[in-house]
Amino acid sequence: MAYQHAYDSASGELKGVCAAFPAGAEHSAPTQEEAWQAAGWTVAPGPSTDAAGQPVGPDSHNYLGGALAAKRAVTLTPDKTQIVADGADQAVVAVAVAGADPPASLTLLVNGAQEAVALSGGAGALAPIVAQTPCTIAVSLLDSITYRAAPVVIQAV
Amino acid sequence: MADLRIQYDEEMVGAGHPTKDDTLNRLVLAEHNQDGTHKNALQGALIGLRLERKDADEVNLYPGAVEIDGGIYTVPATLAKQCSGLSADTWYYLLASAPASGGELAAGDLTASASAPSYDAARLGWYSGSARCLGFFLTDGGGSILGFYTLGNWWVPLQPVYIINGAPSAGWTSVAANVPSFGRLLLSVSADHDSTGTAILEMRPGNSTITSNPLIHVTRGAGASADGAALVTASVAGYVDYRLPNSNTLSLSWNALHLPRGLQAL
Repeated sequence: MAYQHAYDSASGELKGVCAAFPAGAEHSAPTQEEAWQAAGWTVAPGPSTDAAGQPVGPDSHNYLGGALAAKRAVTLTPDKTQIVADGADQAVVAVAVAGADPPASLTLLVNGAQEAVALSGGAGALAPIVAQTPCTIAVSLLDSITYRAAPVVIQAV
Repeated sequence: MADLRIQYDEEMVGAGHPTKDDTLNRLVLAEHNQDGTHKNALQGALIGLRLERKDADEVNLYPGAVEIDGGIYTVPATLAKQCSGLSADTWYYLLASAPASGGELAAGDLTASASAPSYDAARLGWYSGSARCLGFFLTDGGGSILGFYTLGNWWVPLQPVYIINGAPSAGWTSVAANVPSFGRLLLSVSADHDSTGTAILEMRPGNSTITSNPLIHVTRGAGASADGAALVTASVAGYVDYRLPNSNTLSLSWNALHLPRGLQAL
């Protein structure tokens, strides 16, 4: 069973993976490959798993440089997931980028607002997060094509 | 019901008489072949013979019996079949050939083939020439056999088999279901997607023109994620149709496949 990858050749974002449509089979709707091509993406054969045996998908891989590659893993670790909404209690989210040659900084999104984190040896931390009123604070990656990380949610109560 | 026994007033005549009917063998030939084996009273039978992954390149065939081209063959104890040189991302079909002698199958009578068998309506089974298909398995991207087991008449992979993982289409779209070639197949499908608005995932059998009464409804508001499951029929060519508006990502997979006729064990 062959697989097809669809990616945005401009951004390097892997858009999707599907099994290759049976050659010559009649169909009453456009195939998934045709739909992705109509969206302007490059569709090409690719494996279901990478060289490390990991399943290939948009969450874990990209086509930066035109070739399939695993995204760099980033770990976001809050010291607490709940803070008091009093403007004083705070949570600190540690940032760690795996692998060799980590970047000097990494930009995160804190409830949609960009915040750059300086890294030393791939490690750093967001500025302390405080809240004046009860709310939910989501922390995620700005560049989700190059990197992957499980998002963090902090509740201010 | 005819009485085929030699009657007291009949002449006992054996096989091959140039002018007279065979009365000696008439009764036994009603249910037996000339070599003494039983005729196809169990034609198409597949008893037990559950197939499971043993390791990366071996499968286990559990005890049972099968009818192959008129003969009944048994597997009295679990058979381990080594399958070397497997290709990546490929469906393999385990074929059994009748042994040259005896009534037991051995590992040497089994072959893992990437060529799909065909259903033989006369022999009531899936055949590739004279070899009957007993089961099937899938390899991963490295050519290793993916874990699976057979639960009743359901083939169940240990991890979901992906149909699509990525950007969905808002309009009806045909996508390969990633199934073995056994004609129309019933799948237990599960889906997980996000929403940018009200997102309804609908599915229908492949090569269908159904526009209403879709098989799955999973609806959520913007910013939410949702999951659902349903039984879906893949077309003879092995694909399904879906549509999912207002969504950025869709993970669609199947986690059980109902065995087709000719592979359903007693």
